[in-house]
Amino acid sequence: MKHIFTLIFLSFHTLNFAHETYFAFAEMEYDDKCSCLEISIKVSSHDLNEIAENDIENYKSLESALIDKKQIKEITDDIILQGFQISQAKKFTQLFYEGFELNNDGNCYFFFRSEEIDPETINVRFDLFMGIYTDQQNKLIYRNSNDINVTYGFFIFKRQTDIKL
Amino acid sequence: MKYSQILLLVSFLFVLSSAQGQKKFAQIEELIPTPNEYRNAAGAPGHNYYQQQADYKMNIVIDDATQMLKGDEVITYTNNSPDALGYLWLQLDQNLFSKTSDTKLIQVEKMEDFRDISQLKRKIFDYDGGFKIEDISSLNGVNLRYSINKTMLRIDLDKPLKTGASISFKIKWWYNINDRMAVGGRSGYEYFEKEDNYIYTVAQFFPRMCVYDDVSGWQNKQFLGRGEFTLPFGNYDVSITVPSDHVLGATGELQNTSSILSGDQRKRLEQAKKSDSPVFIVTEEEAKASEVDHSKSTKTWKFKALNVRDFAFASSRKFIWDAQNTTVGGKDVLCMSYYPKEGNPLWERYSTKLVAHTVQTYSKYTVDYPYPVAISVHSKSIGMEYPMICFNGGRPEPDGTYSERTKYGMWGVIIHEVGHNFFPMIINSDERQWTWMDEGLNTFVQYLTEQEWERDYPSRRGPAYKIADYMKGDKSNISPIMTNSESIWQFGNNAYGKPATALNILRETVMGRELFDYAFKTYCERWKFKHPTPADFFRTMEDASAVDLDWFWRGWFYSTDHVDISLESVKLFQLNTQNPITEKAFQKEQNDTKDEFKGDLENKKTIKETINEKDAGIDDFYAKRDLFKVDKLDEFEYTQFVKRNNQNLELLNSEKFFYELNFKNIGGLVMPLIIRINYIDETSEIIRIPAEIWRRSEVDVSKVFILDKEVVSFRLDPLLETADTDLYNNSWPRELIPSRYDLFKQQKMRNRRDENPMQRQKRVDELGN
Repeated sequence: MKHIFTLIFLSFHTLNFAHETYFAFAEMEYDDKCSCLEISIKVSSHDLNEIAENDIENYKSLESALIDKKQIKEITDDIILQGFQISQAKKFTQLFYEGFELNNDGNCYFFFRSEEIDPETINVRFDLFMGIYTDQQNKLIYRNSNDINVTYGFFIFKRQTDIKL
Repeated sequence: MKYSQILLLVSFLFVLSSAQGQKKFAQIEELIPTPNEYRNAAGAPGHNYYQQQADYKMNIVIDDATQMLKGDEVITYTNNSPDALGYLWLQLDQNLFSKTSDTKLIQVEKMEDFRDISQLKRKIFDYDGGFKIEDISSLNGVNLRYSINKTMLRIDLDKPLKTGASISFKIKWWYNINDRMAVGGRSGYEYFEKEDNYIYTVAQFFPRMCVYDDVSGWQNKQFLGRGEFTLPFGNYDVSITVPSDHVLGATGELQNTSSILSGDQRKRLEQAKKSDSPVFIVTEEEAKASEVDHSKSTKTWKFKALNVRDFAFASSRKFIWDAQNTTVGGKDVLCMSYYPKEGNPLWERYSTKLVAHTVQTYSKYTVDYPYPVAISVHSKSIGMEYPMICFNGGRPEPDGTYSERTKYGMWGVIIHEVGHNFFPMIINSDERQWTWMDEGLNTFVQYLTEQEWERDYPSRRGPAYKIADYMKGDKSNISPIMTNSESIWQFGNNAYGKPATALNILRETVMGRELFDYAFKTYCERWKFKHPTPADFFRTMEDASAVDLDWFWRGWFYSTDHVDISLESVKLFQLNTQNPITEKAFQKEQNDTKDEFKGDLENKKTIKETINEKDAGIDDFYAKRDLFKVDKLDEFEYTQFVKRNNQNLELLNSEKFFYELNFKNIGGLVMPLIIRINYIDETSEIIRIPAEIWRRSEVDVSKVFILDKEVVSFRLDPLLETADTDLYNNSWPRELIPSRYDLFKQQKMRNRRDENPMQRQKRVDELGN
């Protein structure tokens, strides 16, 4: 059977051999007060910059994009959240952008809060940048209700996992 | 019979526990090669150490109209090995871009990787790259038999090349230079469409001799894109023909300044050689003028480079060129930068000064920089190193402003790539086999250099705590540092970050700066202009310091364990003085301050009088006695005790506090225990216990601290120096460690939503006008 797939028309990505990081780290915790997940995602500014440079219209720099409502929405919705998705009982969980931090050491942090969800099992898909950097590998650290950190690895062969909240 | 069985069991358990204790502290002889005449047990070159020599004479032409590179070269190869060589292997790195390259074929792909048009375009991009070999022949024109296996070329010799003999042969080739911004690559061209100009950064551009040594024989592993190069040393004599309005920088010293540079430029170059700050040889105005006039004539630049392992160059009519002198070990080094106007104002302000600073700082920690020039070329987005010359990113925005991140990115990449002159250009390790030996060691010295450039420089890699995210948790898809370059999971963290961190920990925490610096410099001195291996490094670091580091190499370089040491519990003990006055008063205080049950407290209020309070006949001896009263018998017994133990009284009355701390090694890596003790009088001290405390028990250890003052809290790894991945279990009593999200919420009001601060300042200035 032939499968049809639709392309998203973004511009052209470069591929170079600079010293990319190829790693994104997320931290996640369930907050009982809001019945929601609190999430931070750390990415290499260099990696993100290279992707945004090619995918975001009129993009100049991360600094200027992050104060431009349209561009920050494109970065969070079309880049970051394309690679970090949560679902529960086969229904996508909406994630709300809370803010960012851009550090001089080359790291960039994005903060999200989820809509209200039950503290049950969720499915996390964390394949951020994997379509662009074949060596990309991501890691999620979930702090459970006993304040114990549980780590989940994601890579090209294993892009999603179930987590019991 | 039963007795002997028990003995046997006890003996068995002892052997078992000894063996377990030996896992992490077992010596690494089983992991590293046996010392021999080429590499000795001290980690130095052996008495029969040898290496090959490859000398090159080349004529190179850039065709600016077609972006083709053409060349012919004469290679003179000298066999210093004890072996006769029946064939020679050469590297054809450009074949990485050939249509049949394995690099594309071995990439794992899923349909998810074709989600957007850009990804699809990249996958199907068509570019006719790779070497076109036209001729391989002897100096008298006889064709040589050769065979190409993807990125490797074998020349079959009619007669084996004997020990001490040399052979010279010619190769003629050409290739299409890659558009670096489209297909990527460590070298290539960047096209500036508006003005129809190119910047060429040209490297790995000619067939180069492979290394033949005592470790690998011919090191002819295919070039798949990651594992960089290992090359023999040699002398280069290179002529490069480019459009006459181009400015060109290359490995080595320019031989024909008089026919290439104008009188003014020659004067400025001489001035730069005596200056300790940058002097323009080609100014921005001159470069801008060249950008407009596209000369059709050509010039040939001639360079010589001695005792280098490779040759690279950069050429463009867009180049501004500045230079300054720095002196290392009494020898002058000309530090230079080549950059287009697009790199300013960052590049004219910092690049050459960074080159000079890097050369100076690395020389202090490793070996004196031996070459006459050190060059930084601006090449958008990348960082890549070659002998004496490197290509570096860090481009301001089109309006001339730049963010702090861009500035630090540019500083970091220049320091890193100039630093590669030392690892691996001088200390010539095998990059194709062991990426960490150049990238890791270089990143470590880069950190030291950054910290000497600016106080509190926000170094990306080096400090221990920065590697924690990478090292913690699931290990199924990360690899030990000691992994072949092409098989590494997580190149940046594995080969750059983790070894740099490990060396930092050795320097700051395990060995101390003095021992480490001496041993590290010894390694560099021993192996400059030679080919070291990991074992040579491990052995030298121990040999020159008298510190057994086998446990450290085993844990940090051969395993994927991480550091997570938990302070499990703290127990307080105090000596019983046997003095009834002291001890009963202590017992009374304990009794008076113990927690009370809520019901008892309520009863005291609600029950006006109990029966025994009303009726004096109820209370007997037990009810009336005072448990905490010192009676005559207590006093008598203590007098007797004092007579018997007169010598120990001082110790018994010292009022010392005994704290038993219990630690658990959760992550697997054994590390020193660094404990900060915070006392009740608000003073504190740090106690350091070497990692060897884990040598007999690798999971649980305890330690008793005998202290003069009461403690309010203990904190493990308080200076964040061991890369401990879970700080929550490091404290007693437990301290809550906020998540990144918590920290973000706390500082939300201070959220850095400001624009590029230089752009903001521009708007401020405009308002002022």
